[in-house]
Amino acid sequence: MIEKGHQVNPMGQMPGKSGDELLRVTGLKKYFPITAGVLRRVVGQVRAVEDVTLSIRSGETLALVGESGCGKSTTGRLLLRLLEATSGDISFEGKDIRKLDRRQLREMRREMQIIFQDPFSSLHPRMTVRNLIAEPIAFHGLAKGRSEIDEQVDRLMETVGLSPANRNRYPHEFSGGQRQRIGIARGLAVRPKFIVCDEPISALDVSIQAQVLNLLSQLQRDNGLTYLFISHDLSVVRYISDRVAVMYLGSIVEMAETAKLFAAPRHPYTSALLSAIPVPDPSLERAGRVILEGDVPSPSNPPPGCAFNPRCQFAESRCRVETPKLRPIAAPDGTSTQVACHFAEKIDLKGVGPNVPAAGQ
Amino acid sequence: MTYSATGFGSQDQNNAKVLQVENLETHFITRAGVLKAVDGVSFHIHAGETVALVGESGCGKSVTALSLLRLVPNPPGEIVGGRILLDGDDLLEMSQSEIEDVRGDRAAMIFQEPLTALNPILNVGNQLSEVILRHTKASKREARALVLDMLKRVGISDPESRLKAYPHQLSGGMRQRVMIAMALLANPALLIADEPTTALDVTIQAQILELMRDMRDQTGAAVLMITHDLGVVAEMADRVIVMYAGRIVESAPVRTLFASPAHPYTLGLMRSTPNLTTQRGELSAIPGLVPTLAALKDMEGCRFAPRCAFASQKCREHEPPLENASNDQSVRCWHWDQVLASQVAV
Repeated sequence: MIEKGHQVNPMGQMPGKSGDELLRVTGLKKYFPITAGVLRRVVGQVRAVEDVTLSIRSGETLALVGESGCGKSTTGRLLLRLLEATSGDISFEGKDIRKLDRRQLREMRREMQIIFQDPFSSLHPRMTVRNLIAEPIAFHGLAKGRSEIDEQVDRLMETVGLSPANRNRYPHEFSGGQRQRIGIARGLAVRPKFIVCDEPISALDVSIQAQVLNLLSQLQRDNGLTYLFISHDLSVVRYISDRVAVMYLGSIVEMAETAKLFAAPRHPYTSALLSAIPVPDPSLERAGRVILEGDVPSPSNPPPGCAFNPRCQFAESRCRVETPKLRPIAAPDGTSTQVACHFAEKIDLKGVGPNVPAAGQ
Repeated sequence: MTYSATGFGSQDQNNAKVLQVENLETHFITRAGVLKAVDGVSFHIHAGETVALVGESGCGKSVTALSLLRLVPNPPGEIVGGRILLDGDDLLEMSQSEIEDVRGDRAAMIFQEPLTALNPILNVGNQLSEVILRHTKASKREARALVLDMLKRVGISDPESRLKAYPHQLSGGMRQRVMIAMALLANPALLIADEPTTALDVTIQAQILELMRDMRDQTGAAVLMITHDLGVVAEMADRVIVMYAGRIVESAPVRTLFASPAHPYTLGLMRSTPNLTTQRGELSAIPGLVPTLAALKDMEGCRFAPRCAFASQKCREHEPPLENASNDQSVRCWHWDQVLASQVAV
């Protein structure tokens, strides 16, 4: 089933008008059951995603950051229905993704792709690069006949910086960075509008990370792509994203434009996270560094009230009872930031970055 | 306790060299031939000094660290040349039982992944007591008291109950604290930390780095820190050694290295790492790939030349020696003066 619109533009889809809302997620939840005994009785629930509400505009990069177990990867998978959500709404270009049947979902998958973290386990080891990249093209019927498919494979390989001469090689013959390029080519093969990048450079060496980051930026510019960029590396997030959503224990605790989030965080967790980044500048003395105590609580047994309250230096009795909702608060410059903290207006937090002078200056 | 008061650094020339490595060569004998993972590496560490060994996967940094305590699996690995002097004693000359006495006592190691480095079927108390019982004449009761004290020092809450815990019952950060406690129990002169925070989340990483700084200051141990993270280097190290394809390519005090890297690879690493001031479009990647060890066999000239913007014909034909760019900065590059000059121009 090919819709007519897709055959018009040979290099990718019509980029949506920049700035329009492409994806909206409301009240997304995902609970995994904990079972016990031979009857696999449900004895509890891991609240992997507790409450995620966000929207992504066409052409932008929204970063989803947080520490391991905060639910950021689960959220990415829920958006593509690689996992079924427990509740909540996901609408992509106005269509409710959670209500699609199999056939409709298959069509929708052309618009939405994912690039995985581990280029070693996400490529079939016994398929050649040509077949790996051709698979989605053939599956979605985007080319007629072998020669047309080959043509597209070669062009995709060039686009991601691989030599088409290597098309008959197997994944193990490539380095990590090159394998990630194969993964990206596969994602691009169906000319999607939206790509979930799930820690796409975390498994790569430092000098290769920059190559892949630059490639992703280039592709976004050329094809008007929209990214959800899932990462734990705040330096990378600051570099690549337009907006950032910070997750903690299954919920978004802060969402703002990138520059603003780094310079003037409004949630105590964001501030602590920023303060923990090791900065590659030995001359920088970092005063007032917040070092969080303790660990992230278990998502199967979250603390009552605000999930961050046991580690928060500003926590008061209200935080231990009442869960704060994500709400807009006004910034001095007239714009607004979304924060889930009862005391966001009252507390004074430190940011990082070029606007923030080093200690004592 | 003089160390804690004065701070640390290579500038303290009175400090003895705790570790001196001379021309270390560790090879792997494989069907594909001899792979020179560590190819003529020399460096030293003073007491109380932290030296970071930096490089990408396959550069030989971890094999260097493992070689120091003769932990490279043999076969296929073999230390074929060089000297490793710990307080003057050559570890490569020692018998098996002598080197086992050194491990965990005079030199200790912290690994990247504490879950695989700790014994899963021994509880924390027994696992840590073993270090003391192995290396001293202390009784079990005394060992237990020392272990409890050390667990408190590394910031483990409720240490009494943790004594009975097994590694899988602890969080990642907690396990790394247990590893650090274990490494410090015998008060080693040399502490080797192989990517100690790579497996940890950023807020936990900050906790562990702070703990390591405190412990170094309290014990005055010489620390060799293996990492690929330039941020961690900047926060922890006094001196930095950069490795590429089995060779040291640059060595300098941390501030010198970050202010004026003299090797094109060091410069490339810094420019390809986003920090909190990098603007979009500023990130410049190093082209190409790290050469495989097998590919190095047929390589003449500088190992970085195929990826290097400064490379000339000379670089492709003759490998440069490690030479001094200044008193405390040494670099393996024919064109290091151009590399430094290029940064002034910017």
